[in-house]
Amino acid sequence: MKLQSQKVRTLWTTLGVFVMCILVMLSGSVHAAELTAREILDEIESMALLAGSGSAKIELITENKRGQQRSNTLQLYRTKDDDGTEKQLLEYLQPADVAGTKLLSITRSEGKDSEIWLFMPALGKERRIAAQEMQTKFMGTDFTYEEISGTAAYKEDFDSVRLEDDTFDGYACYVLELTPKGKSEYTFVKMWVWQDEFIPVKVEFYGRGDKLTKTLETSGWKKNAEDKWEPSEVVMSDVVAGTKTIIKIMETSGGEISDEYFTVRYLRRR
Amino acid sequence: MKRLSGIITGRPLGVFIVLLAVSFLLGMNIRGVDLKVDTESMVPRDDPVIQDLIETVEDFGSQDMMMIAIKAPVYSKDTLAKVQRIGEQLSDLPGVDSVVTPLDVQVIRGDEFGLEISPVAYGAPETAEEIEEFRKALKDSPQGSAMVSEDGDALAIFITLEPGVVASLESQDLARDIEAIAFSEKAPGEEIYVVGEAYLGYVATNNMLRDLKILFPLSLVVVIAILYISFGSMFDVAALIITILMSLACTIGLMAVLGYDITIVSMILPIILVSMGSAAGIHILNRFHEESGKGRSPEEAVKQVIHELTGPVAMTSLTTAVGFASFATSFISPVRVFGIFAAAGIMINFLITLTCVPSLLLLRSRKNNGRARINRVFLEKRDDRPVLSRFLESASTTVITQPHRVIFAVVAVTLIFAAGIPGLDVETNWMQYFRQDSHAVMGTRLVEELFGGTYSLSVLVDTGEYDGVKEPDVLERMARLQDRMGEVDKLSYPSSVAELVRNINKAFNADDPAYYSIPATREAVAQELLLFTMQGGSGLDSMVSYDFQKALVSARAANVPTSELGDIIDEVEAIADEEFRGTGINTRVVGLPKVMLRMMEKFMDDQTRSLIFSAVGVWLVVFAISRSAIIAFLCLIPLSVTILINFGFMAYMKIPLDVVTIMISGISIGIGIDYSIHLTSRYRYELRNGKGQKDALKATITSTGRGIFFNAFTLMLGFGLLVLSTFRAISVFGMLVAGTMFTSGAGALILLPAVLRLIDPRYIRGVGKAFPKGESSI
Repeated sequence: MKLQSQKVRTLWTTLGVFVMCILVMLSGSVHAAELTAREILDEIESMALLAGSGSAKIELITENKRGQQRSNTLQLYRTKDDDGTEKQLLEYLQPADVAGTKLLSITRSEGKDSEIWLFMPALGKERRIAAQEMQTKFMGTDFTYEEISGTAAYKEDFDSVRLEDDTFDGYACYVLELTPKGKSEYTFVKMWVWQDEFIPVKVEFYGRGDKLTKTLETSGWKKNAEDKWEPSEVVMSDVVAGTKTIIKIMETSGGEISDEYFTVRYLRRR
Repeated sequence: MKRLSGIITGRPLGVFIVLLAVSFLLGMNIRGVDLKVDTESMVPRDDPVIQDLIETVEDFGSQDMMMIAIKAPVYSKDTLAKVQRIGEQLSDLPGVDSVVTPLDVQVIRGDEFGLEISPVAYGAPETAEEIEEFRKALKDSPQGSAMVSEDGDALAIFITLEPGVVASLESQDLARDIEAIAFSEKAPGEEIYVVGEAYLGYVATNNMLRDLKILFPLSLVVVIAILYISFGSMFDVAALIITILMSLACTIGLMAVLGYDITIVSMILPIILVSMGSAAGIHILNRFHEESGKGRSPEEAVKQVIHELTGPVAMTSLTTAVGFASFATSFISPVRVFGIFAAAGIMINFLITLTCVPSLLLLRSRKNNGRARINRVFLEKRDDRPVLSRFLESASTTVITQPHRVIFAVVAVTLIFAAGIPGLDVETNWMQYFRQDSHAVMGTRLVEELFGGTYSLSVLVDTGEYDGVKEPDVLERMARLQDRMGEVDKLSYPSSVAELVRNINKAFNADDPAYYSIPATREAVAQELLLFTMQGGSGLDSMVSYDFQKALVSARAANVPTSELGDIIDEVEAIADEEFRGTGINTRVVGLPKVMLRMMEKFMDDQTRSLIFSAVGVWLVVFAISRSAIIAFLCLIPLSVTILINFGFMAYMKIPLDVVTIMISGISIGIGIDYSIHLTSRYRYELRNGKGQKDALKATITSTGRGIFFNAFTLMLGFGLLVLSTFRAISVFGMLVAGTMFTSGAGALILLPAVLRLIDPRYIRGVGKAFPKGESSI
């Protein structure tokens, strides 16, 4: 039972997966006059699958109901092995009392079993952390694990209907309504897809009673050095709890990351 | 006045129809009146204690808790499945913030990898092994052992309500829904209780509503019966009842139109208006019959009545209204609202009576071909009560011959009662309003016995700086504060972020008890807390503010009388001061118990203010009309005695001053003054008509005494009916008001004449303006 409502607090995350998914979206070039919802989704997904190696510096801000914010600066590195194993390292840069705290996660392609290690410099030890359930709130942010890990496979798990086109933040968008086929905490999801690039720029999540529960909004899309589109800010708002998680992308690079970053030994290195 | 009587005698039907229409239109709104019951809404929002509470809710989330206690074998498949069902249903209710059942308890333990935080069970355990595992895990967790009784035969489910719900109208629906969910799962041989402030309020309202549905018609019947006995005419009785109902419709309708809710206090308004609303009408009917008896035409009689009685009836209504209006100075908003509308109701009743009763009398006489039906029964009845006459006769003799003794005896009795007043308790706890054998009280007692209590009492620790709570020194002090709070009598299950940090530290170090302590550096604390949250640990939000500047150290408090609560709060404050002395860190006690204590502190001030206001107000009204400062002062003497005796009686009987009983003094001043006014005015009238002091006093006591007797008797019966209420607060209120009606009536009949006997009649006769004599006869 998941009765205790967890509010936003913590300042840490493996948001990397999510951020990476967004920033590696390549510019698409499909332009058909009347695309079906399914065709639009196909375009998006083919891009999302290209998530690969890279690093990013992000500011993660959590905001409570009263608008109070707590900010953390994180550096994250990510790579994917040939066998499909995803590796990710997060390091806290700010605030000072947790700076140097590192989190390593290794997710093997088979199954969702992941190995997560945390190193806490003040305690001088690393600890292994148990993997979490998929639909619970992600490390105290407004994201669920599912949303973070990009495992919400909209194409397979959702029925899609195309609604009337709309504009969001100046982007001409297709609007899709996605209804989960199986059990989900959402009754349906509305997605705004930027027509030029097939990038989802806004998502609305509807829960029980078709009530809007959360919104995901992106802004400041631009091309990075690798000629890939990336947003400068991603905001997830929990409409019900009145909380927000804001991710500001400060720097990104898409180069290969040395494998030694993704070892328990590296965690202890200052 | 001439114009008024002109309109009434000219168009009685028109007047009646207009009154009926106005009452109907206002009365239509009654359905829009809502009920509101909670302690917090009784204290104004700008009070520092409420400010603290609001701030606490903003920083730490809702402090409003309810609890379901189930008395059944906990470690059985059926019970646990039931707990899961109840938990799921509860968390779906609007207004519920979160629900924690024993199945949701979070267990923190060390394992070979580091730290493991997991729920004590995933769903309800079913097999014997699963249940045994669950039992062990629960025992190991401090949170778990606070939710299941030692011998495993009772468990608690905690419900946190969304902030503000308790003070809103939804609280009634919510409490009802929670009760329905809980009781629907009750199996034979089991006991299920719902406890908590919101629930007590809900049950209290329901009890009162149920009682009033019976008591209101009953009080109508009693008033009708008394009126019929006095007048012997159904028409007169009907006229009075119509007046009362119209006044009621207008008053409650006005409340609805102005957007005020009915509260636990204003619920007694109907009974008050019924009991008191007949007084003005009785005077008018009396006078009308008297004039008709002299052979006047109905029009003439009505004109005469309006001319003569408007002043005195206005005065008695005004003094009663002043008594109620004294509550407008109260800090408790429901009492304030009640005071204003009760005063308005009395004045509305006065206006309606003055216009409606004469109109009806004229309408009937027109039907009877212009003749007033002479109320023979009424006229004949004037002297057929030998017992009362003899009593009044002997009372007047005693007063006239031995005034010193009378005064001495009254003073002695009053002093005996007054001596008890310092021991008067003040009570702001809902529980004390219930009869002690009620289901709600029994549930609360069970919860206290097994789980320590239903209120949350917290110390707010404000470090004044961002992340200040992460300092090991602050946490150490909080841990000590928490440990010491656990030792305070009536407090149990203390918790705080310091406790959490100690547990994390221990678990992080392979469950080594030596590490049950606060880590040495701020970084270590921050990183352990980070680990905790990362692991999905929950509950931090209710202990620390978002910026880690403030933290709460909380404990459960048993439901004790407010005065005892005050001692507990003092003790906790002293401990907090001691632990944080010299650190510059601000600590203060917050929570509902503090609000209750605050109300208690304010009650005494309030009572004094209300007394002064009503005494001065009444004095002014009497002075304005009688133009005599001495008479206005004399009229207050029987009331002072009444109030001292009332408070002394309450103290000796261990009846506390509470939201309801606080109103008694104001009511008794407002009503009781009428008796003194009647008496003094008649006395002056007799003096001016040339009687000597002794004869004047005798004539006054034997004639006006009757009126005072019947007036007081009607009110005693009307309020005395409230004694039948199953709700303790109301029944006590009824008893006390009935008692003050007796004392103030007796005071006016015996003490006041004795005092007057000692004052040279010249001071009384000569001064001021003449009272019209009419008001003094019933």
